[in-house]
Amino acid sequence: MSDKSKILYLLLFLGIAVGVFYYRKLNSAFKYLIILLICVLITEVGSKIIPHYGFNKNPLYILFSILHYPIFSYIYYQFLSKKKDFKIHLLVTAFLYYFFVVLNIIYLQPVTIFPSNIILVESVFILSQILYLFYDMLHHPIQKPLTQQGMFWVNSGSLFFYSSTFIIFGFFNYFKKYQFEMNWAYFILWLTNIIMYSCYLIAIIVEGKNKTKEIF
Amino acid sequence: MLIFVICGILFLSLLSGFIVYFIVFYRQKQANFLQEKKLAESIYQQELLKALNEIKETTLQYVASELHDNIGQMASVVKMNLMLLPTSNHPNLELSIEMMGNILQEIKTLSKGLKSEFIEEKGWIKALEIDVERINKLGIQIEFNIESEYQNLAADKEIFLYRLCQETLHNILQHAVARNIRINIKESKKEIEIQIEDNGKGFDVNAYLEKDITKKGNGLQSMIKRCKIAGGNYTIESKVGMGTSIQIKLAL
Repeated sequence: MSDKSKILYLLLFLGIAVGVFYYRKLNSAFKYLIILLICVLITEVGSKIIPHYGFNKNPLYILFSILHYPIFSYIYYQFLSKKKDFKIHLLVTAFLYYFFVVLNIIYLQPVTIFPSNIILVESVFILSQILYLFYDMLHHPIQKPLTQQGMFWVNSGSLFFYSSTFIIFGFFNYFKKYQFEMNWAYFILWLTNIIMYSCYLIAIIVEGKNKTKEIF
Repeated sequence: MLIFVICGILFLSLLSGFIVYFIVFYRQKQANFLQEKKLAESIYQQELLKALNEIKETTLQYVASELHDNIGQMASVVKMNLMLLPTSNHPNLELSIEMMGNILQEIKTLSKGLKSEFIEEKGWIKALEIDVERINKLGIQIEFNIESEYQNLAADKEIFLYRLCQETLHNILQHAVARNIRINIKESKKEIEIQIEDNGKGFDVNAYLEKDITKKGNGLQSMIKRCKIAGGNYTIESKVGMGTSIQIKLAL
């Protein structure tokens, strides 16, 4: 296991551990964030173990993408639960996303190939949710300082990861086709992953501490 | 490869710049929002105070009318009936007639004090002087000093100041067991300062102010709050056994 993987697993594990510690005090959105982190950890570990048994790990990534989108969307739905138009946006994008997943598997990238197209489309839809939340936060500020708002940290971390995912996976097939050196891309993905999960960890800590203060 | 690395760094810098810009912009919006919230709260408190004062004045008007029209009339009838009795048969009759006369006078004075029209007509100082005279008759010495010329204030401010003083004097009579009261009124162009001191039994101010404001016996807390909303200050200094000093300041 490389050092980079160890750091990633440590961050995921810390996020889950802190989340379990504060679980009762967290609201629904952050409880689902912990579930998301658990899914990520299982996928990451599974993607290391499965090849050892001679199986292809790419179906695991497809399964993860299928599960990841509704969980992530639900978290943002909780952050923006008062918005009717956001609810419609989520329903429409969910329909389009799953329609594309089916089309991609049948016509473009079968289950044995890394689903870069699915990840790309997912990034687009998720970026729209991220930008919508930033827009809503600006138009409806609250009294709490920004750094004490868990959803700011979740949104910022997600912005870093999904915008780099969008660009890298947008050119992924092109780079692979012309056999470009991809280490820099993997490094950026790893770095933005670290930033994202660090932000998620901070978000869980901030929300857990805020609720503790409110109780006392 | 170098181009990709540079692009990667630029891209991450762009994202960081966006986050920083968002934080700065959000703080501005937050400051505006908090300012608007404060203003709205202040307006709400003032409107609430106005409404409470109106309800209070209406209630006091009603009580004043009932005092004068019902109880005052009954007291007059009792006095007249007493006066019709022959004095030789009842040794305490003259005393009773005199006391009924005093009761009638008290009812008239009280009734006047409760009516806001009287305060608007004569001014809050005159209304306060009448209260002072009434308290003097109860055997309590009141020293009443005004340091500057009386000016015409807005009717609502006059009623507000009078009611504060009236309530404060009422509290002294009910709780302080004081023999001497001093009232000093200082007026300038910018503010009015009223000092009311008594030599009563005093009390623990901090313990009193920590009481739940929604429960009974919270008159002082209510006066402090009303004064604050009106843009003034109501401060109390007291120690058990050492009397009480109350200072009311209101900007004009």
